Amino acid sequence: MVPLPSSHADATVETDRDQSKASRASTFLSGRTALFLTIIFGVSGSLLAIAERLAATGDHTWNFVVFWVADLLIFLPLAWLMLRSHSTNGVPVALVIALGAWGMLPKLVRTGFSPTYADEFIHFRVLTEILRVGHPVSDFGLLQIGASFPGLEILTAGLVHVTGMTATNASVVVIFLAHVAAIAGVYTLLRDISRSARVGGVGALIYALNPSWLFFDTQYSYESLALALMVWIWVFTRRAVTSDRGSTLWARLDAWIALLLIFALAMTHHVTSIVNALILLLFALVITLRQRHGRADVGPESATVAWVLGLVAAAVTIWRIMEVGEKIYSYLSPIIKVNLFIEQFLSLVGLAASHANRTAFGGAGIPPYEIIAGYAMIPILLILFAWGVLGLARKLRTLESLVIVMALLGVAYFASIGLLTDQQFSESVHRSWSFSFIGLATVISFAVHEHLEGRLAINWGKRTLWPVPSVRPKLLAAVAVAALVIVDVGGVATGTTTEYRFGAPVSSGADAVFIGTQSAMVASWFHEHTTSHDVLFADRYLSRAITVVSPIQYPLSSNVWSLTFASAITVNELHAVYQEGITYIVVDRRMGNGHPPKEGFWYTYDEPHAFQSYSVPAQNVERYGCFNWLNAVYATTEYQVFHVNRPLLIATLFKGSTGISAACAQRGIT
Amino acid sequence: MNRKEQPSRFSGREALGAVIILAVALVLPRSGALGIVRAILAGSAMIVIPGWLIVRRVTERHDWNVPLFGGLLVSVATYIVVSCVAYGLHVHITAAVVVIPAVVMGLVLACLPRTLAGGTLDMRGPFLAIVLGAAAILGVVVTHLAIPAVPVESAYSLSPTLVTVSHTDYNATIHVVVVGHPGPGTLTLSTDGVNRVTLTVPARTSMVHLRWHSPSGDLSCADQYTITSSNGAYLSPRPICRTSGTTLSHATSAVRHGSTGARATNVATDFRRAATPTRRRSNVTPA
Repeated sequence: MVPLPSSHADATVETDRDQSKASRASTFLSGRTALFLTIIFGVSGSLLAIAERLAATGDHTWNFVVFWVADLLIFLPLAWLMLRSHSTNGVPVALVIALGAWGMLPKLVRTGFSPTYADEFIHFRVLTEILRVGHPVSDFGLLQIGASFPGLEILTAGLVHVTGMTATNASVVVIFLAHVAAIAGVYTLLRDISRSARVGGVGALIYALNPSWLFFDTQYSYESLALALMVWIWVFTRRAVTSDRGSTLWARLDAWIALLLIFALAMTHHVTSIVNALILLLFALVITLRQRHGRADVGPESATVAWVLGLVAAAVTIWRIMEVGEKIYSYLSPIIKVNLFIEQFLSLVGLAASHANRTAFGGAGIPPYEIIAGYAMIPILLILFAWGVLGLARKLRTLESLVIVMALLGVAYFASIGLLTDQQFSESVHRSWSFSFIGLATVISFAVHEHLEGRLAINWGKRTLWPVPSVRPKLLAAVAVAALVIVDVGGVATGTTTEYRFGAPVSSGADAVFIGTQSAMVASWFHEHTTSHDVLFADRYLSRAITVVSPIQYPLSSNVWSLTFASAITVNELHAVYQEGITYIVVDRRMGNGHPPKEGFWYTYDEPHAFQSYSVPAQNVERYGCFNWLNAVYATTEYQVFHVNRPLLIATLFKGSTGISAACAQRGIT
Repeated sequence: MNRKEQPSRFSGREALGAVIILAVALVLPRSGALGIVRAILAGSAMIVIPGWLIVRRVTERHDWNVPLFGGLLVSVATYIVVSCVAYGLHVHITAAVVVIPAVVMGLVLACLPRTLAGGTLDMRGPFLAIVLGAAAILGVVVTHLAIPAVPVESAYSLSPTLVTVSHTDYNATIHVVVVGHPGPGTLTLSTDGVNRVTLTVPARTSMVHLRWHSPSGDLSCADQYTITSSNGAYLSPRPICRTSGTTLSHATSAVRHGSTGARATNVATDFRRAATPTRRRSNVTPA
């Protein structure tokens, strides 16, 4: 790709080969194409609703098929239109934004406007605390870290105050805008550094194939907003750093905007802020190194601006991490154990023992074709990425520095795959793809554009590896379509659990599908009966449903868990209940019916039996009804709500007994 | 692009317009049709227009997505940063969130040199994006409303409203809520593991009175009374202790297990926590 001379500095002006085809650039979509697109968007939305309804009523076959028809109805035509976009006549960016809007629908169809995913409950709790007391309440047991990064909730609370919307509606509006802004940012970033709308459009489309895009990044959670902030930081940093925009005033203002976004990002999400700082520093380093090697088209002051922004981002991030302190360390510590990282990588080449304790797609309940696509997408992406890197390597000197940085970010995707089977790293690996796919999108979209322009050549010695003359364009197009479909299907399949993607009949012990009439009944009861001085001990599922409607607090320590897990209760368990200030306990009686919670009882790494599909013995559940210091004050078909009679608990503790009734003791319950 | 700085077409009118929109929106009601108008106007005035006005200073006019989405994030970032600073200064976000960021962005706007990029704004792109997005949303909504609803989880709940014990009688009033469910079937009262009385609950009954008369007159508040339904759901509320209609002891009513009583108990007994300053819940008022 040939960079523009600085006199032709508009980042948005058409620069592709057919720049001369002015008439083509000036035409917008034909009316017929626009009508066709409108119809397929409508039909796709309709099919998404049908797929969800099939799933919610228990169908586990056709819902997948209908979902994929809905999905491919959007992706295939849009890919076609992006590839043939030669101009910046507004079509690619309009399609990208429409794609971003459509990308919210699978999640909204699944969840409605109410919090449904595990993280959403936590962020709603922070939001309700801000609305209730005017500031984030930074410390309660259920959420160790989120309340220290309240950017998302502060914004939502502001919208609630100003617009009069409900909190749930405001949350959907915020995430909707963030989701569209993020993909619009990817488009703008790639279009700016390539000066091609096609690269922007194709790149945005590839980014939308990332496993987190449709479901995880659309939830009401801090990274959904943070991703948008990060991408636009890169847009404005690149604009501030690159000297091709001519106006110093513009560059300065761009730098100030980037700075503002950096601060906001540091208040919004920890990992995204860290990634952003690393990328900005790497960007500055690459610019400096390239300047030393005499790259002429990078202006003399760009390295300084890049370093300033990178160092500020690093400083702000470090400041926030130090400010949050212990909580962030305990939250991130499972994934920053460098020795485990290295060992797991070494195990891939047989130099260390593997920690693998997780089977990919284990218990996912998805069709075989999705599993196959999930595996197949990795080599396909590797081939495309390698093709792109090799194709662009000979143009290295003319590429912008940010392309090189993005290529390095893309490598992180392949590096992460080796950690996927380790339970401790698995979640982090999944989340990292939202970042690394920006790198993949950059390299592949650049290469696709160069290929279509006839400028991509890969040589091995004197041999020309690409383009391959014997391959017909139609065959190549068919292969490209197949690759797109496989990466699309595989991406969604690897992104989240089936319960996150589709509704299902209510089931206990599983995120997202535990919500139903009973959980609503219990939550409503807590809403009416509890205050912020009460403390609740319940499993991770019901705790979340209650947390958004009641200001009740949660135990900080894990030693109260043995109240459920211990085969015999001692005064230690009672002391834990006392010390944690617990006033209410909720028990799901199904735990004792051989129904192990899918995601663990509490889902922390130090939880006993975590990730072991452990089923609580029936006797342990029955035991809750035996304590004289517990009163069952509310019951639904399967849930029991107990109130802790604390004076009686203390009296029982003083006696040195456990308070189990004689009748229960006779039945062997201890 | 003409890179020369041009005389601005911007005047204070646009910023003033945004302020007026915000002011008008804030006096509109929060519900009904005008509530929707308020939400759109106030939302635009809060997170779209300010950023748009700033970012469009550094963008070509035809490049509408940058001021729209980049500007959106500039507004968002300003609100987040200002609110966090306000929080640090112990100012409630409810008060700071509207006024201060708007003032900050207004000042920024006023201080910016009056330059404006050339080019024309082609509205076909935004229009296409809106039409396509709206078509998809419409497809979802219409289909969602058109096809039969998913059956809700059938369930029932039991909660005691009044439970009393005298030397001879145990009386409990149980509130039953059913959703697509026949209800608890039967309710059995037991003490110390011995069943005393069983009551069949007709379907869709909302209030059940359970009474047990003990001829021996040896009932005690200290006993553990459990009311169990046919599927195993149970209640064991603390009863109010009476004799011949007079309250003898002041055991907390089963229906008063809620916040106030719990808090007082919690605080009064929580001497260990008070000795640990690093714990949370420091906002608990000392007893």
